[in-house]
Amino acid sequence: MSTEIEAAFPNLAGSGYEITGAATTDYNCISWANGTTTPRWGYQHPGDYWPPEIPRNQRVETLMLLFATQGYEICDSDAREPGYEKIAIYAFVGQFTHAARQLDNGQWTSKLGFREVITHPTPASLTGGIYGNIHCIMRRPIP
Amino acid sequence: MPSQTTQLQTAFNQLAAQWEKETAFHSNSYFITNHPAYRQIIEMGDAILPLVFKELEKGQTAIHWPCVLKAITGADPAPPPEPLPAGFVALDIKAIHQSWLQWGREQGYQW
Repeated sequence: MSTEIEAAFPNLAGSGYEITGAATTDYNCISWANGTTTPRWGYQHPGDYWPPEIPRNQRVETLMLLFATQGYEICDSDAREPGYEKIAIYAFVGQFTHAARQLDNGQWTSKLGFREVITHPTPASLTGGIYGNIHCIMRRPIP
Repeated sequence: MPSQTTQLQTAFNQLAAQWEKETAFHSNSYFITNHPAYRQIIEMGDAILPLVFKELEKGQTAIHWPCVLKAITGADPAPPPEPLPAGFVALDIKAIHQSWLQWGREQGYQW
């Protein structure tokens, strides 16, 4: 538990969230949502990886397009579906802010920027704070 | 009455604390460099560079202070990223911090 984290994300307090990974700059939320810790996905810093066919901007549709290239498609529910892995995309005034990934047990995992990794019960646990709201849920078949 | 240096340091410390707190959970410089406190820090100009190097040396943030240093000085001493397999590259944040600290010493800044 962290008062600093709960101040940034008020819905986390009392939700049963847990810190599961230490703060690191080696990867970010997009890398983590995509199931990897290398490289850091982004388009603004030298060294970040961003597929060349994806526009280099902050529009939430751009992040959806990025995950579509990774096999994800929009779905209706954040409930666990056998055979699929899911991500939640967050946005604030049309700009993407964060992505979270569902774990096998139905919980969700998030890398908080350059800070810690947490598990949280639902995508909604991270809304109402600096990440804005959930823009959509996407899923892809587990190979 | 506080000296001009003390006033500058107080203003910088307040802005730095606000900026770091309100952007701590973003890894994307879009949100970090669009924050009002960032703009105000940049407008303080090169008089605050020793204070920026001091913050950088603490190593508590990743890209905040390199962004400020680059914006104020126009320099970019950061090493090129390391190539990885499959066309990926790795950005060594610690190396970037060290290169800026070395650049600051070479330019004669003291902090």
